[in-house]
Amino acid sequence: MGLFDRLANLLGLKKKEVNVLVVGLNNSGKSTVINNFKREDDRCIDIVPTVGYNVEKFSFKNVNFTAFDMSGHDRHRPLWEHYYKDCHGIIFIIDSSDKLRLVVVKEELDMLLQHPDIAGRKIPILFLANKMDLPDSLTTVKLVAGLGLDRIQNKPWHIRATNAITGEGLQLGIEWLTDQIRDIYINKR
Amino acid sequence: MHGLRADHNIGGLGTSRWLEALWEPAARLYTLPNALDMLDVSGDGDARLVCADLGTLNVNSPKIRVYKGGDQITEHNMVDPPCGVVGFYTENGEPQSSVLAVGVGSSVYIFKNMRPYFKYCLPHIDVHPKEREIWHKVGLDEELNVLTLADELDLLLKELGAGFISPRTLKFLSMDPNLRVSFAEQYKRIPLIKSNALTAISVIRRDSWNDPASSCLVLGTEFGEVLILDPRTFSVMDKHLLQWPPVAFACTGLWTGDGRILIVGRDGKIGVIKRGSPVKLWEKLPSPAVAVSPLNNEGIAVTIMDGTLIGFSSKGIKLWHVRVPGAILDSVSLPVPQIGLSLLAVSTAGYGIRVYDGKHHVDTLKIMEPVSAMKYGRMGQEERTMAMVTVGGGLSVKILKRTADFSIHNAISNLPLNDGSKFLVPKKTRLFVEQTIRERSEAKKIHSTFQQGLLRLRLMVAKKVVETLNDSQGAGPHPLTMEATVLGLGPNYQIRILLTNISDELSDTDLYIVCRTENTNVKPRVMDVPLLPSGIPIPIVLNAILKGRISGRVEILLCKKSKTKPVAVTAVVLPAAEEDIET
Repeated sequence: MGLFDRLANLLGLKKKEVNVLVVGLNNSGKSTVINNFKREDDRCIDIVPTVGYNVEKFSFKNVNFTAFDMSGHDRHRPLWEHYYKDCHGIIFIIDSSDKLRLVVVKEELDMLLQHPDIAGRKIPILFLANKMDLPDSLTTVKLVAGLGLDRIQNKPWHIRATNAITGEGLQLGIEWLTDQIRDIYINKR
Repeated sequence: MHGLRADHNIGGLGTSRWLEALWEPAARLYTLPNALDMLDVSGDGDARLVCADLGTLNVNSPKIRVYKGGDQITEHNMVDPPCGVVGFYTENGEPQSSVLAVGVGSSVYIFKNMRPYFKYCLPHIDVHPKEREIWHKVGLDEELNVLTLADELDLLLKELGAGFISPRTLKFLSMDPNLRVSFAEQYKRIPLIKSNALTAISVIRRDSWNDPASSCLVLGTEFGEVLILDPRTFSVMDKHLLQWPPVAFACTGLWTGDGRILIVGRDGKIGVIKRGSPVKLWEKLPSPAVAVSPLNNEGIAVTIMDGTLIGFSSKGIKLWHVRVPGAILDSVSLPVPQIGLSLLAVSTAGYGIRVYDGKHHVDTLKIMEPVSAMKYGRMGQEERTMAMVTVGGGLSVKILKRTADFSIHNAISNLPLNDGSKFLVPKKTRLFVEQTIRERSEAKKIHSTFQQGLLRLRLMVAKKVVETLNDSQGAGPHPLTMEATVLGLGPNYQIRILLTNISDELSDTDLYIVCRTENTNVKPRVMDVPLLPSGIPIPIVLNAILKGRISGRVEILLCKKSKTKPVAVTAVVLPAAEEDIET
């Protein structure tokens, strides 16, 4: 690696390609969140339930993201694990107004964390507690307790309350994820 | 804060197939089977739990309560206790809010967006003509003669029985004679009616398999009718007369197509109706039914009060029955299309909720209190939710895990059943076709080959049996000696056998001697050996006669009963008789 490359890397001038996996139960707002990260003129107006998965590209702070927006329908959830191996970061979206399915979220999260492709790796996980605007939504503190996030030892994680329709909280979330990915994967090389 | 359940089991993933989403012991819901449904009452895509709460004796009137997750959002007072709640759509393919129908007394209340929309009243039953005439006559008369009226009605009551008399007459006859005059004056000009009562309510899809699809209301009445209502106009589409009051329905298929409604009567009768054909009676159950649920293969499972779960085929043939421990409180079908199963959940008193795959018990849901009513379906956004109301008034919600696997148990329990059944060759494959053609053309050869194989197998088995029997006899040597001598000149000989027990103990019992002969008659051929004391030779004498003029041979076998191998063998030769001695 030439001196210039290293300098560009350090300053974040050279674009880097990273893959992030976007998972969460159906109707939690995954596609809406990703829609917000895209450029103004690429955005969709109508968001329909995803079938299978969508691949979306966007860039943030000189990092090119390829986001695998997985379907959250229980029929499509078995697809998630096929993408664990190649991803550099995970965005886990939670519908904070759906108290009934919190156990299902916990179950899916536990399965994700115990998967052999995830368990031993230091991979940043960004939790987005979506639908914060709804009146009976759970706070991030309650979600941390309810999902047992404090048990995650070997991975950097971060939780943030968001509203994917207005975009509130999303920028700070993706900023954290970008910094983490840069620390772990890019600067190390 | 209910709904939050942080069980910090590190290592996560429990072994249960169910996730416990909610347990609200103080919900104060008191319901019976059929009083729960999950439907999208507001049209926002979130299915709510609708419960018909009967209330308790001292607490208020019955209510319809609507839950979102664990939180009650609305409640609606009802006049009388509901016999059931069902949700349905009035139009095909329009994702609008679902309509709620509550069967109460003699009417069905229809709610749209949880607002009263329509009230359907059951048609009145015809009053007996004699009774009508009596009251009609009273209405025409200027002078009211209460005594004759009472006498006439009393006579009619004795003739027909109370079940066929209108409530007005019954009330009149049960009144104090002094109050009868005013009662008769008040009602004599009002037409006499006899109202019907609703006993069961259900829905059947009208003409579409797509969701959402319009469904017809199915109503059962005390008078013994089944009414099918049009979902838009709430007018009677079809009417079937049963003569016995139905208490539960299981509906399958499309009503305008091949849909069928299985009906269970209060007296245990089971019958099925199709559009345009009269009721076909299957059989009479030994005790009243608790609930009836359709299974995926067109079959039907019925739970009855003596604690049995019975499976019927689509033709009404009783396929199997299982004893369920404890009293049965409710049962619902548990379709799991992802793994192609249609299970049945049976709520029992004291043994939790037992899940059956056909007649095989595959899972048990443990729960704090017995469950009086349950419903499996889509609640909120989750499609595999089981909502349960306990006898103590608690509300519990469990979610079936995505990874739940019922097939392991299933495979084990099904294995012994496969014995003797045909090989599962799927029809219409090339393999199947080829095999069929070969079977047809070479039936004789296939049969003989099979018979040969079978005989060989039997022979081999017999050989092996003999071998093992003989092998097992090596144990325990018999310390006996046997000497045989031939006495005489012939052709009559005497064979003298000396048996000596050379061990220190008494010999075995049940020993015997068998003679195998050539050209000789031996008498007796078989002889029991007495108990042999230690060291003393015991003589045994046999008579032998030569059959012809050539020499004979006798093999003497000392055998033990129940053993095929002899203990000792000796052979003696009987010389041919001298001719000149013979006289």
